[in-house]
Amino acid sequence: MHFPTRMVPWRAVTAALLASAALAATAATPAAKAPTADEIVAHHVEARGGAAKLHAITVLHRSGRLVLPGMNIELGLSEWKTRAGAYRQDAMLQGMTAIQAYDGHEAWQVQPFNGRKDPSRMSEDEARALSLGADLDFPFVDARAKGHVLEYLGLEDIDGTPAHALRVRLKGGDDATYWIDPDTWMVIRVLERHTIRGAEDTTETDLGEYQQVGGVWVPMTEESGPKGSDPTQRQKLVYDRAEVNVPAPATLFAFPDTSAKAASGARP
Amino acid sequence: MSRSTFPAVRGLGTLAVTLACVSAAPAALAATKAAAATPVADSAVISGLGARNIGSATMSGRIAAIAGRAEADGTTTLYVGAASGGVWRTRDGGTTFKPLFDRQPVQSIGAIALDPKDPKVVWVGSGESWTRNSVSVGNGIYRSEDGGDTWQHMGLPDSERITRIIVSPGDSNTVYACVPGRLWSDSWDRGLYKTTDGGHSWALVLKGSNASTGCSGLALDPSNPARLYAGLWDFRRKGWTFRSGGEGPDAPSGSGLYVSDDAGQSWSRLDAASAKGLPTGPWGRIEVAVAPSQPNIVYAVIEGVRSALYRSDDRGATWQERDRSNGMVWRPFYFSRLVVDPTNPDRIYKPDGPLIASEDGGKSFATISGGTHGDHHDLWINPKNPKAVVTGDDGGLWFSQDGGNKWWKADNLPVSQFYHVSVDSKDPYQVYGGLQDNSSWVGDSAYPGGITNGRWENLYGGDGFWTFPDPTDANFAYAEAQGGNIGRIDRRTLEIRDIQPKAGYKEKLRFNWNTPIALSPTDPTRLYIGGQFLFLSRDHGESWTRISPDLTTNDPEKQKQEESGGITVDNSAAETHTTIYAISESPRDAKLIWVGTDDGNVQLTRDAGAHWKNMVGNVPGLPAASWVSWVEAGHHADGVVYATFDRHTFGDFTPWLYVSRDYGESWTRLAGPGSGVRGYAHVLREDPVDGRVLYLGTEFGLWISLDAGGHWAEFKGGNFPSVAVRDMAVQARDHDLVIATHGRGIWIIDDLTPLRALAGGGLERDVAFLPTRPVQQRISANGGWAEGDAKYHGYNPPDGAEIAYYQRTRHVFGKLSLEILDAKGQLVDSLPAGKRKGINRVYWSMQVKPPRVPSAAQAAFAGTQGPRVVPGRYTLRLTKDGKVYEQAIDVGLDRRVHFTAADRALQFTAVMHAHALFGRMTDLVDRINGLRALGQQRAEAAPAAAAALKALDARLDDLRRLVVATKEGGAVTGEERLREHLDHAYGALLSYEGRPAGYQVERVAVLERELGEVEAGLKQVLEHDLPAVNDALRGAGAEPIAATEADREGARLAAIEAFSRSQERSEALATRAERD
Repeated sequence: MHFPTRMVPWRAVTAALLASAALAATAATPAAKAPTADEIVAHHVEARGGAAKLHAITVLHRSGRLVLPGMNIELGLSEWKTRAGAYRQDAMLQGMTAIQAYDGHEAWQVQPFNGRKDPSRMSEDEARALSLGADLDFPFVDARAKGHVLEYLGLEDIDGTPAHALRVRLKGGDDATYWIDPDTWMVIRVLERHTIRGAEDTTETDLGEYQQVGGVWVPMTEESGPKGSDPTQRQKLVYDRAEVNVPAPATLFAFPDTSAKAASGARP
Repeated sequence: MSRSTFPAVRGLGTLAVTLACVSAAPAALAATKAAAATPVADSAVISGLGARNIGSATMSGRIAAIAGRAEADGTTTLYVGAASGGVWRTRDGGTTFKPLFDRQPVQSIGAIALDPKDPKVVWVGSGESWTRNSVSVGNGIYRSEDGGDTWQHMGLPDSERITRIIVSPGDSNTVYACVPGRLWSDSWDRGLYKTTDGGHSWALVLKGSNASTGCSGLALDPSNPARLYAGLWDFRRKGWTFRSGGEGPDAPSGSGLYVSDDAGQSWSRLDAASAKGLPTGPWGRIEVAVAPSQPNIVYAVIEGVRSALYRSDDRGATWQERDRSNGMVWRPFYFSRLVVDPTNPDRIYKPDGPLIASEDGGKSFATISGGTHGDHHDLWINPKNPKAVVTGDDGGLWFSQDGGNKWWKADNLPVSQFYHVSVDSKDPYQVYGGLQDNSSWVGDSAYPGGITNGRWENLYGGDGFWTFPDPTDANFAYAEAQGGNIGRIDRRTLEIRDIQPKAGYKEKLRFNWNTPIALSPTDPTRLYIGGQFLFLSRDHGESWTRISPDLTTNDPEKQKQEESGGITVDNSAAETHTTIYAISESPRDAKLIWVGTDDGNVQLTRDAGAHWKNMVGNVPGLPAASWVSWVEAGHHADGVVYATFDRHTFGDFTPWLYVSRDYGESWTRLAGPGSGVRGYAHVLREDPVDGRVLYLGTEFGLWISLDAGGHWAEFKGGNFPSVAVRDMAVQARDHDLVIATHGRGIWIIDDLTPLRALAGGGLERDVAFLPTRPVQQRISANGGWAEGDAKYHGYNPPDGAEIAYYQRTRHVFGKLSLEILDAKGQLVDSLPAGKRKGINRVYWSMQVKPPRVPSAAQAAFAGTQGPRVVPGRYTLRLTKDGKVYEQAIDVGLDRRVHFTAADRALQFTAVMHAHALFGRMTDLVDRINGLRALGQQRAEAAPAAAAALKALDARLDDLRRLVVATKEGGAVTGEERLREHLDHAYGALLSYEGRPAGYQVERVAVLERELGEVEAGLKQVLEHDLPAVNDALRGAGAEPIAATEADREGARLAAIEAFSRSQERSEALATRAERD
């Protein structure tokens, strides 16, 4: 069994938020005019909890379980992401821990279930995909400052919800599209498109069950699979706990020193 | 996805108000909004049913257009336009294809063009131009700026079909669209269109002389983009005839060949008078092509009395007649494309019945299609490697690497065009159906490992239509080819017996292209087939009885098929008219039979055919001679009948659906303009369980009504595209709706039970469980084999117990908990819940949690699974917004199993014994680990006791090594200890849910004994070794180790590894990282 490459890019809150002046301008705009991407982002940020509370988050940690499709295997799950752009996801089974991590520069993993518990480096393409999860913000928040290009695609039907579609052309060349529920302004679906070894790799993720953590609404479920895939065959992440600003030293994300036994679940 | 899916964006004023509310209380706002809305069974409500495509791609379907690009990195990008299955893209040379057009309102593709300057820009002209009788329709031209992932409709909405798009090589904003236009009716929205602003506006730069003449061919001189060649084509199809050119070989025609030197501003006509060498008129369809490598060479295929390929070496000034073999003559409406090798002006391909090619500039042609299906329509040549050729025909897409000598098929394009579908009662049931030019097939509705192409079996030949299992003998099936050529097939040998009724003396029987066959719903021995008469057989076709007179209008003006074709006669039975087209025997009364004809009659007999009465005159508002595409006698009340009328052959694409509840004396229209239903209607199925539920298939999709036709909702579940739905069948035992699409294969909506439940109302409820079909623990099986990524496989039904519930609005905020409780109220499982609006389906594996398994060198894979619960009653508990909803769910055995519930209980008990043993083993290892961890800690604090602690540690590790494999590194160690042995035994017990074998139970008992010995060993350590170590610790001034402390430490370590209490895990990992 090989723990799958991270499929669910989750972006929490924060980052540079549009000024309240933008919101005022929004309200004053004639009703017939379509919203701009910036206006939608501003609504989203406010609905998530507001810029101040978002900014206050430096670390987000979520824990719960991961249900793999097909095999119907359930693993414990723990995830960290930091303001510094680091990311780590642990999946635990039978006392072993699979790890995928990104320290802001490189990504690495541990896939212990077949007996190899040493860390190995991931490719640059995979690191780029993983780095999307390291962004504490959804990348459409403060997109320009991050070097991304933001585009509003209009309203599209997401399982009966006409949702605002925002496409983000990411700085690294990949892109992601976010669908935002106009009633709640929460992201309800993400489509990530990465180029891995020269081939397109797409993952569609539905987000839900938002709960407030540190005054910010955070999704607690993520269901993902290839675009258009059978909902019953999707990887499911169910978080039952989320915390902000827990300890998360840089060593948690850095490639372990292989001269010492790293945090791979090995027993003494 | 389309940016134009929702035409209006909600007002910003509304947004601002929403924002304020959301900031305060998002959940409350959502509830308030929902409360304000009047719930209706709209698309969002019903589409949560989902649907699965079972293909197949083994027969695939008609490909109408291909465009490609040889990329700089050596890969090939291809865009493939299906005749009625949308646009597909491959970026890996055909290994995988991705559908790009699923969210667009039409699926018929006529042309694809790639912008030569911008690889992201793709143009698609909707509406196939290979104008056979079953051709679909388009709605204009589309543009993508991201390689086809999203599309914008760019106009020409009334074009109906587009055959060629050319982007000017020097200016991406200048695009030409060659529009044949409407097939079935007059229209001036046809000809050659041009845009100079990227499609925002279009000008008709070349039009025909009459309202039936459009553009059929277009070529651009790459050395001078202002020079254009265009063919105009006069054509018209009716239900009973077709003309290409005028009404006959000598009749006037609007067709012609034109040339422009000013980018379409002005045109010169090229004909026998103006261009030496061209034939005299009248002409039919015209195709024109410029040799890219030598643009002074121009080819034209001109349909005329002397149909031939013509070549000009001087840019159209003079011409020479070249080949005029069969490939230049037959069926120009179906085969017209001409493709010149981009590197060789003398090498020409003509997709035709066979694919033909010339190496000598068209002087001679050879058939090169080899093992392809046939009936080719388009072709693409890799300009960087002209031996790499791709062609599309009625059987799909084909690749050649040797210039067209040998071919391999794309086995991953499920664009099959079914006309009809039926099902049998096997378990799992099989699906039967016939396809356009692709015979009649039977395939599995489910198969372990997936429904691969190989799970479909060809039964017959020709074009396929109605196909049925013989309800009296599962070894036989009925199938037919075009024109009523019905056969009875022995499925054991595939022997076919022709059982088509034959004509009498000087009589001609008229069988429709798509001749109806019907099985009696009341008597499995009765089989009907319709010509102009209705025939009945009671002996598998051994004999036939005519049970009606001619039920059609018998209009001789609609029986002149020998004159059909226009300039080129084409009488293939495709236009045979004044025929019976629909048959329905009442499931409530075997003597009551409804018949519909293609020329507009709705006939009724209530005495098994002794007397017939035409009831169509009672249908209000229906134009005369409207094609009766479906009749369906009602299941739930006497006298009820539904009829759909298809008027697209008159240019009317609206749905016409009526119901009569009094044997046809009066009718009410259930679907038409304003009903929300799009497209001409092919089929109406009344739900056999609940008469309020109706399923309506049109050219543009599936619509469902839950109120007997009062309201309709488009079904979009499972990414179901807007594809033609030509037939449906309800599998009575499993309550599945099996959908025959003409362009995307067979789809299945599993279990209609939740949908039916909503027909009774209840949409105003926030949340409600919905009933499902009985839950079975279906046999878990393995099947199939690795086939790579280039093979399509259809989807199986979801595994597990179906749980269905309705939500009035999408769930966004807060926990949505779905739990399973056993009879004692104990929690069995907790499932991720569906959150969409409307019907949600979640599947419970019915497994208990897997055992706790001690950590070792590798995972114990059987130990990742828990056994399935014993059959019985369980409770579903849904908790949402503080409210709890409960429903019982009864779990049963698979009806196919041969063991009893008692056997199943024995298996569960045996598995759970091993399950518990894993737990004991884990406790043991945790305690050992705890002791060892404490020992390490003490050794650091009390060096004087280190030796004793080290000895203890070695003793403990020896015990651990008896329990778990410890050789790490990833190699295949083959190391097996108690844990690994138990995993094998546990897996063996899991593998079969009947009574376990005695030796399997005994094996677990043996392992339990061995585990007990290790436990005893630890006990001895605790009783004898540990006290001595503790003495040493005390002597060194350190705290002794208590067994209970060891247990706590072991549990703590296990908790950290197995499932984090996040704060502790963070700290532990951080500490460990710092320590290391």
